[in-house]
Amino acid sequence: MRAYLAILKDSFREAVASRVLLIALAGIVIILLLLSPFGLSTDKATELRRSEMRQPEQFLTKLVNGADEEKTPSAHLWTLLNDTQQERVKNLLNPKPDNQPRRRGGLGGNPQRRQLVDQLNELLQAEDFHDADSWRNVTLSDENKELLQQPELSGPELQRRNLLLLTAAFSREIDVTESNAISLDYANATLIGPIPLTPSQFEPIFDQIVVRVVGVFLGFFGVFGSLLVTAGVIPRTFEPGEIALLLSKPVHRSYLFVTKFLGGCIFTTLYASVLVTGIWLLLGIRMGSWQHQLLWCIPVYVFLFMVYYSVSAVAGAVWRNSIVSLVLVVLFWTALQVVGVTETALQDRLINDRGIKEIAIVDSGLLTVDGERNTRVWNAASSGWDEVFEEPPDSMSGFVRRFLASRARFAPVYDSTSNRIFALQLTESRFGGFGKPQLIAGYATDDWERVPLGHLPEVVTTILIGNDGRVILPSSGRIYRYVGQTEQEQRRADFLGNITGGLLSGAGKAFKEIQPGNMPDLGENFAAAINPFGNELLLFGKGQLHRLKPTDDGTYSLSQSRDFGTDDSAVVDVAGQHAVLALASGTIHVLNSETLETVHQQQLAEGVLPRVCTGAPDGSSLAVLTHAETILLFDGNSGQPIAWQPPENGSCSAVAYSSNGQLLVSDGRLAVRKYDVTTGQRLKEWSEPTTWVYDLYDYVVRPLWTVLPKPSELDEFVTYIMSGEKSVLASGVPPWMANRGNLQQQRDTFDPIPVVRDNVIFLMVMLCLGCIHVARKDY
Amino acid sequence: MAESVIQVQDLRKIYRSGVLRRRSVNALDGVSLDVPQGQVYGLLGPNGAGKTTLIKVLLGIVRKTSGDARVLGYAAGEITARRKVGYLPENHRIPRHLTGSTALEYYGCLSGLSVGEVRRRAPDLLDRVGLAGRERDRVSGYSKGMQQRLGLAQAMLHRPDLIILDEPTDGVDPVGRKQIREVLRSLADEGASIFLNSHLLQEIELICDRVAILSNGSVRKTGSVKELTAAITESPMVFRIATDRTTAESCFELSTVAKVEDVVDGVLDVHASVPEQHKVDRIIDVLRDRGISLLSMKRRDLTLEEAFLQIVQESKS
Repeated sequence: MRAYLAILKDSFREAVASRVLLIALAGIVIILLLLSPFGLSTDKATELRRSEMRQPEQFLTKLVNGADEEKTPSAHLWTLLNDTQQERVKNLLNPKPDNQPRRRGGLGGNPQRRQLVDQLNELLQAEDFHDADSWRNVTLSDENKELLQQPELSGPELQRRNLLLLTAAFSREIDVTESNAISLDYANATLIGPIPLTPSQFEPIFDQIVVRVVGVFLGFFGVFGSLLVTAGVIPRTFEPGEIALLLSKPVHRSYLFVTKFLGGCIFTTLYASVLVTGIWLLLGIRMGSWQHQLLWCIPVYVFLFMVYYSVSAVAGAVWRNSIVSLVLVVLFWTALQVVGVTETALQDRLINDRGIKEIAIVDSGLLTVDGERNTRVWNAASSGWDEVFEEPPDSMSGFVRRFLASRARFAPVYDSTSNRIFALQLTESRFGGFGKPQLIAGYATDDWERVPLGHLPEVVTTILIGNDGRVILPSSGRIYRYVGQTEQEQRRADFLGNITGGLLSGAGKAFKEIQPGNMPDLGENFAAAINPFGNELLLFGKGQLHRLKPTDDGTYSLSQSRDFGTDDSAVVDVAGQHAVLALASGTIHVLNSETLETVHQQQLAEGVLPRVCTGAPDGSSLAVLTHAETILLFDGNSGQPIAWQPPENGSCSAVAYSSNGQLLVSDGRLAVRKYDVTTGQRLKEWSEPTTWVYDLYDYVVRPLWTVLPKPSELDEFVTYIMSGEKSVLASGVPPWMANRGNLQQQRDTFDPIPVVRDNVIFLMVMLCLGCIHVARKDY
Repeated sequence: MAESVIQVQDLRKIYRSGVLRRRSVNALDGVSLDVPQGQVYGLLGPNGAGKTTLIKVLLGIVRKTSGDARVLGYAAGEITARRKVGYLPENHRIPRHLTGSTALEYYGCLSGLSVGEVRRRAPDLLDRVGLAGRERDRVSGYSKGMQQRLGLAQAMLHRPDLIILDEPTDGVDPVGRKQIREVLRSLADEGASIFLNSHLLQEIELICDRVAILSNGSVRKTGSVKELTAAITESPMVFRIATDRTTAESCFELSTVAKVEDVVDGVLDVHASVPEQHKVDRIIDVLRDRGISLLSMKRRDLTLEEAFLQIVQESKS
């Protein structure tokens, strides 16, 4: 042991003697010193943030329509606006066709939303913002009341008071969930502040920045710098003059090689330790954010280095030439990148884009939706999928399409009573984010041609079909029922609404509000389901599950609620006697649909998020599909888990039930299979023959990718460590635009085990090869 | 009979190279050797004779193809044996970032010593090899001779039972060589067994108790220097006769006379190569017939170089 410790100590001496290490460490210290004056300060929020304006159109409508009301916040605020500002507000609500800005969104945010929020923030500075009579019917917070009682207020206090008044008056339209605001300081001078993001929005961005900084300095410069410096360590060791002397000592050859290899890692360990510890201290001392998990970056990046260095070490032992070692490492890195990029591209194309993500049983056959939201129907004659229900060209494109596509499922639902499918076409609001979605339908008799039925009055992401063909569309605070007005009729009504200043707006005429008077506020990420037995609704939002019963007048009444004591979002479905509620925390409750009592509770594997809950129309079983593409089945009668799982479990991308309770699952690609849940027997298969590209992926790229290590995925591992999120939002959606609570959002599930396993296996194989070579070689 | 520190029996080593076109070289071809304890044993041989290969096999640096080799009673290359052996390889390379003392610390720990032990032993040792005062200097600044001395110091550091030295004075100046010779001699006097491989015959002659001559992968001759250089029939004979040069030359066949030396007035030493005894008898008969007094007659001892060349040439023929 002493001998091997001596080798390690010598490696340490070598690293210390290396000027490169000293230069690198000095560089890190200088960078850390330059970064050290940066800091974050937290104050009470005094400005409205853009994301907090949840329903800008509704807010503007309320403001404009309330202008003539007597002593209401809307009326008072309207009086605070001068003529130009009033005109501007009206124009924001109903833009003239020639005055519509072309740009919608982008990095600077949506211009209309920005204009609206900026104007409101300007208004918050007004001393006469508060009028006691106007706010008399508004429930105020304790903090607000306290501020109102103070005779003298500083500027920020006044803004804070007014912000609280504004949010209290427009609680449905403005949602200030976080009372603090963050500012970025440098040497105690405010650089940017307050940052127009909530602390919870800023946190992931900040984490991303830290991960990127660590990634660039360690993952790239650190690893490649270390490889440059250490490429010569093993070849030098195996030079005739040195190895003969070493092998004459009482040491094992294999241990000598492994110890020299580990010694080579000391350079990276020193480098990573100084950098990460420095950043950790900086974050802790200057920003008050002691992120202990950041320290895990040290072993992770040393491990990343070890994977590359193992190639260098084996090459060094075989050829005893540092240039050959270095060239081989670069070639190895290039090969991994090529294989990785090819695998990702093919997976994106063949599985993520082309793969079946939704299944809908229709009387005449089977409908599926792929990752690009294309709807296809099974063509028995050609044994393939034909595209139907096509989206009109140029309806949206680029980032908007990608952004919206990542926000919610595009899941057509079938109404057997009218032999048609319904779906929601998401749109982008003029103010950014979701706009009013459009209800669309497709009739079997018209080859599923897309027919627009009307724009909903607010954001709705779920369609529920009752057993009598009723179309229910729940939003966060209302429940709509489609009552049959066509798009043409609505367009006519909209025209009338426009020329009468919105007073006769026909928007929403196709949809009747049927929520109970005491409809709970479900929040942004709510879940809804309808029981095919009796059309009762289950709504889950803000930690509470509500059961709503249909009434004789066609509306719903709140029958029962259960508080789950959680802030988690969830997915839910109900069928017959039981309902299944899967929380974002991974807890699954199988509930009695009458009493809402849990009859069975189960926990998903750590980090696995549920994606879809679905129940068999006959109530025979219920299924939960996760983002990890696993399925859990529950018996509809007992509520207990079903032991049988379809063979697609683990790669299942869609799940549905036929009307008689048979389970349909997709294999993540182009096939759908039908199973009898009770016997596990496969009943039918709809599978399109795959092309050579699939063969290339299955038999060349994927095996190669599986066998090779995945050091680049260790970057994701760092993100996983930092955020603790196993399931990360789909690429292309910036973290500040991501809605983490939305379980429908496309996610790239990251499983650290295969990444670590594959890299460890590769490392072991390389070290074994090195040991075998060294053990057999005559020096 | 002293115990053997190295026992080699019919040792063979064939180096194979090439993937498609396999080539093989017989580096050791049935070497048998026995090195007694407490002696300085020299290994002589021309380039490519297999000397370094033999040492590397003994230390396990190279795997034997067949035969048996034991060091200090253990199979060659065994870790226990290596723990008791000190080795100075030919053209060794000590890592350049080390200083004299850290190098000793490194190699001492590799040999199983604690840092404390190394630090206790190092000053004396460095003084003994002439590196006192240079222990804090980086090895990169050492001359070849200093590196050799440091190499020798590391070989002696753990007080091994056997020291194997491969060209220990290579690149060392004459003063340094003398110093190293003295160190080796004193080690031998202390009872250490030394196995020495050197090209320098004078060195071997001066230090070694016994010598083995290796040529073409096999041992051609072993013995003490005296035994190797002892007079043999091939050695030149010296006839001391009382006569003049002209008369003396007429008594010998010209082809056999190597040189004629005047000893004193009227007395000559005639050096002649006469390996066959009947020719010696005839020369004596001729001298008697002519009345020339034969004062003395003897065969001369070979120098080590002569003996070495003679043995090597024999092995080649």
